[in-house]
Amino acid sequence: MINTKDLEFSYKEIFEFANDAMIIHCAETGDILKVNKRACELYGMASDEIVGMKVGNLAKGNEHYNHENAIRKIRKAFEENILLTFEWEIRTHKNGYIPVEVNLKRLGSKSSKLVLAMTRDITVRKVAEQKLRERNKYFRRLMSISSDGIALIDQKGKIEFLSKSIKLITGRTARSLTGRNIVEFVHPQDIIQVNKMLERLSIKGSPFRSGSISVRFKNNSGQWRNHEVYFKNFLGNLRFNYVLLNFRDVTERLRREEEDREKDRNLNHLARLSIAGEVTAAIAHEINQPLCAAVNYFAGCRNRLSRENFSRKDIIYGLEMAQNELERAGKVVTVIKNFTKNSEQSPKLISIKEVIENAKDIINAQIKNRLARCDIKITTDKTVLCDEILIQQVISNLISNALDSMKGLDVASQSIDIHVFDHASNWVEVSIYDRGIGPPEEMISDKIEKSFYTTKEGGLGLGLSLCRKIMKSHRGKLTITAREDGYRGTRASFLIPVAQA
Amino acid sequence: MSYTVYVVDDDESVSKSLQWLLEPLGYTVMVFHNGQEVINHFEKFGVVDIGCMILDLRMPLMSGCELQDELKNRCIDLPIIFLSGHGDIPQAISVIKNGADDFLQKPVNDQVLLDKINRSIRNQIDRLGRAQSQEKASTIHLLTERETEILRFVAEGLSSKEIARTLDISYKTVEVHRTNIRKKLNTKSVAELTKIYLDSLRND
Repeated sequence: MINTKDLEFSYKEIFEFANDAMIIHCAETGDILKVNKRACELYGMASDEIVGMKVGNLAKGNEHYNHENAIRKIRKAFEENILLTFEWEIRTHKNGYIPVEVNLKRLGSKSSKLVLAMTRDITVRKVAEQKLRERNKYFRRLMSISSDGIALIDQKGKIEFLSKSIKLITGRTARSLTGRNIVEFVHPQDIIQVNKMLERLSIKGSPFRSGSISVRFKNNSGQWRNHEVYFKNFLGNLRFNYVLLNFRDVTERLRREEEDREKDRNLNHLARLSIAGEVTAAIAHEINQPLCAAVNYFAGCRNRLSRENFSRKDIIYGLEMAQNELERAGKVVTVIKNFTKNSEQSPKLISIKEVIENAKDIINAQIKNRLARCDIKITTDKTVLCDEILIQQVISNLISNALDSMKGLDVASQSIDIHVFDHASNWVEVSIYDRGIGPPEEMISDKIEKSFYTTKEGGLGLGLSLCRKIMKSHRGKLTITAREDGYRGTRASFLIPVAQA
Repeated sequence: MSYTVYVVDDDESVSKSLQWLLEPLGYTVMVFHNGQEVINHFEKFGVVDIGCMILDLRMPLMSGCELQDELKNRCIDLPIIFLSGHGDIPQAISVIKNGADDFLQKPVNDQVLLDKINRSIRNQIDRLGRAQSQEKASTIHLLTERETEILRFVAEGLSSKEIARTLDISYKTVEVHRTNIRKKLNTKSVAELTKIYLDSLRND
């Protein structure tokens, strides 16, 4: 049987040595009646210094943590007899302020007029909380200033969360968009794409975790803007059942890319015009020759027909020949017209043999213009994916260089060999050999990459750098080296990947 | 008799069509693709007396102009008609100054071309005829002074009697001189003697 006196003693012990600071307040005035050891440590004062102080003297004393509020809390705890827990800031002996968590509880019955305050130093927790807040703030800021928009959508496309940066991107506030369906803002032609993505993501255990799509979103002023959307799939995740979207307005970038493409297109056009311009006379000649031949065949037919005993077979032959010649002239006109047209063609699947054969009229014009000779040997007809006109441009450019490097030679020894053959199993190579002075040092090294570098008087310095670009866009490669087959001269060759069937 | 037309053009279709056009009209057409081929052919088979050449200007190995010079060096006197798609006026002037008969642009009307070919061949025949008579005229130098004198009287239409009287020599002597003249100039007709005499005057 425990002695009540002993019990009273043990309460005292508990009070005195408890791990929390404890203060007994008068419920009416809030005055401090009793403090324990931890309380003395917390406030940095002796027990008899604290006892008798007003509660307000222990508070920080600002608009929140002051005497009146303290009294109000104490009275509330006393009147309602509840465990009142709140955060508070106290003033210590050294005039420092410490954040604390306070539990207030009435002691005994209403007649006791006492309230117990248990106070715990929460400085460490507060610092951690502050840090977390700052971190959150930092991320929120990051999300709001980032040019990327971040969104969470559910599997139906409903917008659950949007970063603040959405305002900068679309001109609409995050709040006005949240809860609406994303497809409301997607260009009609792109909706299928978005739905398809959601559909695929919704499949349980879908291996389709992340990826990107290009979508047009409507901004506040009703304009369609091109966005690149990266998505990451968290659907099926219990606590985070969303698809995370990062989207970026790439309209400007696309516009710049388009401008670059147009600039390249114009430069390529210019380069082709310049090649064609150099050989206008030869081109005219190429057209004139078949016309001349056709006229002769027609005249021959007329002469024969004006006789009594003409041979039908003979006439038919003459007409056929005239037709062939006119068709040849027509073809040259078409080839030159296409070659000098300023239009972007889309790459198409075509046999490399056909590309070279179609380029023959231009090659011929260039070769004949210099009275040089040219041998073309084609041993492959693999299919490649290419813009024919651009490849013709590369070939013409290389031939033009080859002819220039042989300028000093007498006409009879100006000869060019063109070889078109398989290079390993998945490339075709087009090599152009000349008998000229060989490539200048700078051509082999990196200068060739740079535009406007020229070794030619009056040259634009554009040709080869454009050729490089063209080859790059065809996933090909252009190499210019000295010949290594015993002859003097340059070997200019390019590789194009064979189109996969 | 069939005259020969040498067609020199590096473009197969042009040269073939010219051949097809000209052959049924009675010409012998020979096709070459550059000047060097022509020279090689001439060295091997010689040159016809009468005919003409149709030359392209621009050809590999030996161009039309170079061939023209080369033929000149070799004293081959065939009439030359240039037929080119490249022609400009200075070039045309240059080749014509250098002795070409004509400079035509491709494509050419067949009648125009035929006219030129025919005219060139006719001119060549005339030239040849003239050259022959000049050759004959130059034989006049074989005659002695007295024989030349007597030839002049013959050409002026005097009879042997009249000449004898004029020169105050015997009829017989005149006849002997006339026999010698006929022998030396290799002709019997008075008309031809007269022509040779007149040609010789022109020569001097």
